[in-house]
Amino acid sequence: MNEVFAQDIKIKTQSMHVYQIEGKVLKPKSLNNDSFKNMIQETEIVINSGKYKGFLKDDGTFVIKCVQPGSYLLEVVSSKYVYEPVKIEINNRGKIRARKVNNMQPFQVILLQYPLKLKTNATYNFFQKREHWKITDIIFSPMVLMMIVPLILLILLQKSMNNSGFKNEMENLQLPNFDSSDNFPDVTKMFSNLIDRTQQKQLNHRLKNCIYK
Amino acid sequence: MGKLTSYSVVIFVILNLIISQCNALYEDQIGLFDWRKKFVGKIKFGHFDATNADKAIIATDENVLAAISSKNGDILWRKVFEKENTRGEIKFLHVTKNSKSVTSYNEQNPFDVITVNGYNPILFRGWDMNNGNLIWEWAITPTTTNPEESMFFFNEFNIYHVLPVWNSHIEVTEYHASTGQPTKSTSSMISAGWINKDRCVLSSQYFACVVKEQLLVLDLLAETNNIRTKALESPATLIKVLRGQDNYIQVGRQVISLDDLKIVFENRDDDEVYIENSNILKLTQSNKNLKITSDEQEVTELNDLPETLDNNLQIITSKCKPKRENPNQLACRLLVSTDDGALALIQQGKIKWIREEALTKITAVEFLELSLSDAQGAMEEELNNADADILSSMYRRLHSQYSTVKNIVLQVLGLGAPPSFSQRAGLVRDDFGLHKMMVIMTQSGKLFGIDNVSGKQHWVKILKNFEGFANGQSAKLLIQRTSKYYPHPAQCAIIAKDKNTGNGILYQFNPISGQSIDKGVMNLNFKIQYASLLHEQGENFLRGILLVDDKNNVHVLPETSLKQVDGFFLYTVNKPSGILTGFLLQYDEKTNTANMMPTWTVNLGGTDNEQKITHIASKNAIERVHSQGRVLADRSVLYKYINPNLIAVVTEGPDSIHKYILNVYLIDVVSGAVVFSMSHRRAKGPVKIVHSENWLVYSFYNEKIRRNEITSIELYEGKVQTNSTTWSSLNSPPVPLVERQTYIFSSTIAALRETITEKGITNKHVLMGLETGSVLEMPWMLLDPRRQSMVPPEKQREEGIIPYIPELVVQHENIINYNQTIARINGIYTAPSGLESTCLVLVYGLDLFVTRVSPSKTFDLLKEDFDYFLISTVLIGLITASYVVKHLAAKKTIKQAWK
Repeated sequence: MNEVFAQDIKIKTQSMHVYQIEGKVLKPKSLNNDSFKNMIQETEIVINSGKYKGFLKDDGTFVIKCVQPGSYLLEVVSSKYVYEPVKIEINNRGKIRARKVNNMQPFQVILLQYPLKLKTNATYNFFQKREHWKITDIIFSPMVLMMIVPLILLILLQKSMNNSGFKNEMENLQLPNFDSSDNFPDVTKMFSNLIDRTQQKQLNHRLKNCIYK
Repeated sequence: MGKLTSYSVVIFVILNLIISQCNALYEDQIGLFDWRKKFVGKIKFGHFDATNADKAIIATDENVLAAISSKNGDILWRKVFEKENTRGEIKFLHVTKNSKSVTSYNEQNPFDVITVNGYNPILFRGWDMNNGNLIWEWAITPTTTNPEESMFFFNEFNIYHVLPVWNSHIEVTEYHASTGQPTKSTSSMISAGWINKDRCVLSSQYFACVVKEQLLVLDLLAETNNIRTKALESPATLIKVLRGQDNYIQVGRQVISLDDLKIVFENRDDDEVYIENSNILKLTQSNKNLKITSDEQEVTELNDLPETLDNNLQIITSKCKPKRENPNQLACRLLVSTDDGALALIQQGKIKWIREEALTKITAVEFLELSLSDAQGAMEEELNNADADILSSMYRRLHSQYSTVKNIVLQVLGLGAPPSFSQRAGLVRDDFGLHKMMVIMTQSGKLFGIDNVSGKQHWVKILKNFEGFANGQSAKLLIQRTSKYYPHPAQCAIIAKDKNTGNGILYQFNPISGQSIDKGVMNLNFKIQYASLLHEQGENFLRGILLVDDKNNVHVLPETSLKQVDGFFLYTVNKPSGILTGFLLQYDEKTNTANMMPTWTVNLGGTDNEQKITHIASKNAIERVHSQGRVLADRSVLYKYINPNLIAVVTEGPDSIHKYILNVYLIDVVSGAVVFSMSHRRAKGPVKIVHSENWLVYSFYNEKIRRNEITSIELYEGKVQTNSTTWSSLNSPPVPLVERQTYIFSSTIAALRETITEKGITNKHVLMGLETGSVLEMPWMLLDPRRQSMVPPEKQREEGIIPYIPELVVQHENIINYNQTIARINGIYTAPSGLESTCLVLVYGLDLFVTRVSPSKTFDLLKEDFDYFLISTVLIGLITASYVVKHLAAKKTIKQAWK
């Protein structure tokens, strides 16, 4: 009988040092009180991926009881809101501090407020946006632009040619005794006319000679 | 520093570009090809809510507290506690019976639902019945040696912690329920030397024990501890608390009320007994017939009990009231459960719903292709005889056409042959092979055949006396023949251990219809040490089963396939000692027997046998590797080291200097050669590992820096391939070149699996089940060990290799189960579909989730958002335009001709 109690005391002293982690999950701004209650129903606090678990009260507070000294990773598991994980360190004297998690630089210490105030900064985005077909997509695609712009230019140019005295000028340029079987103006000639009239005349003579030889 | 940040920004941009190529779900695809089913586990305690019994509050052996709707069996809310029993196990559940306090709580009635969890510490919690939110919580750390023996009861506003110290005394502590304040300064000790572990129960405030031929009852609330005794007719061995009303126990076959120690009922036939409002309900079950009677008055009778409930039904909780037309008779709403965990609600002689809670403990899964439809089958038959001459082929052709026409006519007239089972159930192969049958084996020996598209349960089979093998090895589910060999149906086999004798059990069945083949369950007369399929098909395309018993004798089923074992290599593992042994089987023609010859032994136990084997990862047997090598930047090919006999073995153990050491070995199991080994200091589990093609990926916990890490290893033969046609482990294969890299991962991984497709052309992604309940599809490109931290000059840059950055980022778009989290992921199963691009996925744990993934996008299928409208308008427009233009052109030519 006495032995049993002696053992009891020993265990008592060993398991005395347990502490509790406290905190509060703050209400996301977009939610009202009722929907926050629903959110709480689906949210839980997980420490070291399930070694300890905490459950939220209606106001978002949680307490994880009887945690032994050590270093822990605390996560808020919610299927909708993203919360940053927090590193909790409890030393042997029961002092608790909360740190930002940085896996890349594990020795860098950025302290966080304790008792924890956990704020969400985003919602999960699991989905890709579907691309909808729009008329503008086609119009502004490079292929279409490449086809349409020269087309418009061509029309515009023709119009401007019609309107101005340019056309008359061009007609003047043309030599009267050209072969009339061909209605279309010789493009090469037209442009070369533009370049240099005198040269053009000489060239024409030469060409004529060539043709009528 | 500035340079570094700009560098990391560049990497980030590159990474983002690559990841954005990766396929995520579209929002409108929710539920299109995925489904989730939530479970709670096998019920331990359950009570209806007091007002109108429209929900049941239940606590389960999976450490889950949940509210279940009585109407349809849906989960209204669910709280999942810690998996480990020290903190998570539900020891006690109290649901208030006072109907007034249900809706509101105040200081007088501050609770609807109370749970007590764990034994070190013991956590007391009060819950809101309507939404499952926590109301109050407190904990005690027990100070005794056997806190797991704790018992609890509730009385008025107080909760009592009863701790028996066997053969010595009982310690009772009283707490105010909602605050956790002890009501007395000390706990009371009641000395009771007569208490014995197996013969005592606590029913509300009474502590009852059977001592020899006496029943001793102690009222723990009474001021003076007087023990009441009752003499029993014969020394009883059984003592149990009856469900339903408090203060009733069954001793031997007598039901005794503890208030007055009177025998209220004599349970002569040893049936299940339940008590509600002093009414004794007796449940009799025989041959698919269920009868519940009260005082010889029938309450409910079910004549055609479904097979899934035919396994020791028990009443968990009930709500009865006298019938209006006949006040002597009772009308009851009953919540019943079976041994395997199936939960059902019975009301007015009907089963309203059934929940299959056995599915929380899945041990093996296979996806099987469905059988051909009747018409396709007929066609297959016609094409089957390839070696016939022209005339007979001609005849068969005409005959099949004739029978098709005949069938159509008969079908129209309604005289045709009845459609086959699979045709009726809609279990017919589809064009893309996406529709499959999931054969699921659970720990309790219940088998399920579930449709992967609809989630419908087509068949169920309960194997009696079923148990998994020793060392945590589950029973085996083997596919002896797939559905490809028409007209032979598919065939599966289950090999397990008999619970009573320890001998092997073999059960062969048709996985599509669920019917047993031959004799059903076969009891083998030896203990099984090793079981596997033979490599080659025997008669009727059936692959034989190889069994090795504990005396190293070789058995083959069917026995005619015994010849095939010649030259079969196998290995056995002793996990605790870390020893692997390889064997070669040889067939002796003279005696028609096969014997097993040890060929090699590898001891991975290390000095003092500290290292224990924790995981063994072999490659998927149906895996195909399409690409034999990798093209380097200089256009040369680096050949993959693809050794089908390679396994990865993980050992873990403590170390005097580094605290923990984790070793990974790659072993060729034919020759016993250790191809490669790695060691991680101060690293420990849980290790998750996946082994495929020429690579290996595993995750572990780095104790030194306290973070999770993932290591990937790739093996290459080099620039020359030793033998491109066949691999031989015995002809001194080359030593592979090894590429390795380790990444930091922010979450804990609960399960790993690679995607698999039919021909292996599609990229392989790694599916990671996270502890938070998400399943992440990680592209191999990010895990690639050839990612280098130094960015090589442009000329040496290989295709598809991104610069190394230590941390693997969880991209939310890559979470394939979006917000459908899966509690306590236990495993992931992948299977190829008929489409090369698509891989079927089943994630299991507490919940089930089925979906499909296409790692290289659906390149062989039109996208579902393919714009049929646009393409048809464009086509029609072009056609009309060309006609109009043609017409106009004709007009113009005519005009010109007239000029």
